[in-house]
Amino acid sequence: MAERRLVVDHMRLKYEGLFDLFEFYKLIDNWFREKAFDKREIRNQEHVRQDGKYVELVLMPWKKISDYARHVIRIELRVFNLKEVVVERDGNRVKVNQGKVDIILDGYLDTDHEDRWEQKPFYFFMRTLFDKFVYRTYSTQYEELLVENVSQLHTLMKSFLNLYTHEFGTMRLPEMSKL
Amino acid sequence: MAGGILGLFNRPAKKEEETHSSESGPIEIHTPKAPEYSASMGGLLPATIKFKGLYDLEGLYKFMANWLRQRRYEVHETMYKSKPPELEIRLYGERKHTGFVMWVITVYYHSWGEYDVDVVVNSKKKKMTNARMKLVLNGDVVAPYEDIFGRPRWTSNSIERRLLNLFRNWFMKRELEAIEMDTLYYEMYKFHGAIKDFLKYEAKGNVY
Repeated sequence: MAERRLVVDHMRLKYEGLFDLFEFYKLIDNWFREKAFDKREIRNQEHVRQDGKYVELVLMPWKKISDYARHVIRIELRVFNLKEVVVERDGNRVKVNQGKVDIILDGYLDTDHEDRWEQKPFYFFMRTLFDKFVYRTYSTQYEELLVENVSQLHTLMKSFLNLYTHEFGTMRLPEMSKL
Repeated sequence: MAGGILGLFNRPAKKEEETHSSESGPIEIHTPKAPEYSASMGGLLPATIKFKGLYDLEGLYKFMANWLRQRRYEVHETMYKSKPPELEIRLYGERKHTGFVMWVITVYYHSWGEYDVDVVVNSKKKKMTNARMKLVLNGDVVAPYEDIFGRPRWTSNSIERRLLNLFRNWFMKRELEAIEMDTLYYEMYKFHGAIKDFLKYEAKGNVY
């Protein structure tokens, strides 16, 4: 079995208000396609309730970086009390959704996904040795790339939902003189 | 410690063939020397759709069967189990892609609820279903598929099987995995997207 490392753990995004779920889903799907991820939709669930629809989506697309490593991003999207409302935008009446969104993002780095280095104990030992000491820089690079991808997706979702009203600004290094 | 550390490098010892020659011993069991064989390539990752509410079951059934038929799949209903409030249907669509490879898409439908509920849609009376349902789509690449009499091919003797395994695991491996399975996988997702469109899902569509 391939080794799975949890690199991004529960990056969360919550939103309540107006949005277009169809466009939002398309945005995520498009982003994965552009980034050459393979599609995997584990669950797509809809419950029609009196107080609005409940939608649950679990996506787990993956991307092979090499024969040895692959990126897996898991998205859990839950929408509560989803209703359709009509709003006026630029003088036109437009149908949009209103509801409460909860998104959880996880990023995994799978190594030896083809199970080539687990046939014998010696192979397993060699793999661990190479992972820890020889290919350490590569593993770190892969992890960094995954973090970058997940953050980019997170930012994209935030910008779609217009969540940039309260920014905390870019991270800066402390000035040397004040240390 | 048998073999010590050097034992790690050695290949596992082959099982010696059991021979029961004595008359008093158990009856000899025929164990074929031919390698193991399965026409299936291992199946794809399944995709699930769940829904709870009012929907048109008859329309959905017709839509799924027609979608597959329009893409030259031969559709079979392998199971129809109605035990109200439960209903279970299994559909199986197969398409001969080449002379060697066949694509298979399976649909597993399971629902619990009320059926034939009279509803007025666009001032017309219509029978619909008010239930919670689960739809699992799966796919498989079968290579080689059976001949027109339902007999498996390339398995009549040990040499044929060895040749077949060599062909599938070495010469055709990349083609089967990268072209056939991948194409079927995305065809299955097209089907998945079409079902979501039919059920008017909020998170519908498929950009792949």
